[in-house]
Amino acid sequence: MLFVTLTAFAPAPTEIAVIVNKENTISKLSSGEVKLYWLRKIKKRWPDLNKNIKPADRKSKCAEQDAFYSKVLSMSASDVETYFTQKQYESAEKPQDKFASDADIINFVSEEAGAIGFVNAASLTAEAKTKVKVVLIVQ
Amino acid sequence: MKKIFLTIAACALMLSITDVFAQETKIRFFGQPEISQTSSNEKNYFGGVSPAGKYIKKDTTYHSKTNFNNGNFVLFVTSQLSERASVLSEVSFNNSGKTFNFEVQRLMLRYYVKDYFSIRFGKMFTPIGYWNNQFTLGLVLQPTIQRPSAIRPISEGGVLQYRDTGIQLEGDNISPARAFYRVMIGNGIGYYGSNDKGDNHIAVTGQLGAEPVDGLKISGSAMFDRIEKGKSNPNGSIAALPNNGNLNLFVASVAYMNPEKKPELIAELLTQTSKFDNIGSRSSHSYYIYGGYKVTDKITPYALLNYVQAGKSTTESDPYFAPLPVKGTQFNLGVRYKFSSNLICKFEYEVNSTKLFYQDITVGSVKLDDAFTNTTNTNKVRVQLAFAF
Repeated sequence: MLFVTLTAFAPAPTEIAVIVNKENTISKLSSGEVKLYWLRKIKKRWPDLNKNIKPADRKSKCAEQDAFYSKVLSMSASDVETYFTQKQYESAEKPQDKFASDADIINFVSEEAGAIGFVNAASLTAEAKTKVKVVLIVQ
Repeated sequence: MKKIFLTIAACALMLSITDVFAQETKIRFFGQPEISQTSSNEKNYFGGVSPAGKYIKKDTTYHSKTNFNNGNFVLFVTSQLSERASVLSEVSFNNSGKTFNFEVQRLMLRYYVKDYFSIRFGKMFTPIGYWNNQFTLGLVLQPTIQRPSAIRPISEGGVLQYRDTGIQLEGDNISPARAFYRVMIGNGIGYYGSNDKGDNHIAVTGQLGAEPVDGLKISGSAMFDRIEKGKSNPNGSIAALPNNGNLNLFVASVAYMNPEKKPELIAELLTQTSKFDNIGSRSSHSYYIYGGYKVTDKITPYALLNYVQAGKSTTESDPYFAPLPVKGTQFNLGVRYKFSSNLICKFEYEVNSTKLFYQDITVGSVKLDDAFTNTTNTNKVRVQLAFAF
């Protein structure tokens, strides 16, 4: 009985959608590929698109960021911050852009051809789906 | 002078702030105040023959001090000028005692051509080894309180040309082994970008390496430069080098620094040959091994062993570094606490031993003074608070 009650009130796990701009020729990415692109680890520019990869992040700690960092990047928030800071001060590389909400990330990704971001899958309304392309869903 | 520097810095800062929104400019300050408690003893071992026979004499003096040091205050400005061009500047302010130092550490433009090819132009770190390029003077990013002695900034006694003004060609992530290369041509020893060179000489530095496993970087670097008669070494500890010559530096590096994994390792070996026209070749070498282990996301205990030898033996010095043969061993045991990526506290215990080998002084066949060894042993406790905002 207690188990049923606890299960009923437990928060549903956050389902994350990784999105890119509609112009991007890539249609699907694995979790490992998203990590490499989002961290700009191997490629700095999208193949075929000829645009800089522009990772979009959330400004402050939230369930979507926690889920993306732990399930896709396998890194803590401070490690992600240190990673981009190090790249910035070693090679003058631009760090990730940060946004306050899913709606802001969707707008950014729809406007910037090279953008890649993550949002709560529930935030992807029918209208939002016309603006961006989903390349990965993380449960 | 101080006022002029402050005015220039303030103007530069205000100009850059006005462009913040236009060019995606990022400005950050790094501070790293420090408290240290040092106790040292200095021993001189004299040995020789006097009219009374053989003798050994030891002199020992003790020093102890507690010091609050506000460290370097570093201003970083980076800006994405276009899809492919970005700029970086690193300026440090430091007041040591009553003197005030302002220095442009780096000022460079980077143009990204392809994944395998970028160009840097300006004043930058020379591509020698791992540490020199990976950790800037903003010490939030650096795993220890201070750099290993061979690659220290000139203001902290460093003697290598750890940065230079010139052009660098570079590329990363080539082939599945993720090979990388850097080739830099620059002004060389003693010149940092001022217009005072009298000839066409350039220093060439190259680095080749690979990252076969994520976070594991293996590389070899080489620097070829000249020693110019009358010029000092970079930190001025040798006021005027004795004759023309060549300088070759080789660095072998292995580093495993992966934020997803707990162990941390950096090991580097530096060997340098200074070849003077009048006295022939002299060599020096240094190595260090850094090891750390992330116990939790916040706590990382670590150790650093650092050895420096200037001059091949106790009787042959390398005039590029010091007029006397020198050997130094340093061991640091520390712990790093990461409050956040922008606030890190480091606590270190350091044991340091430096030996200077004074030689016999002879004029003709007459010995005026005997050789002796000066040994300084130092124990130090240091706490550093490194932050960025």
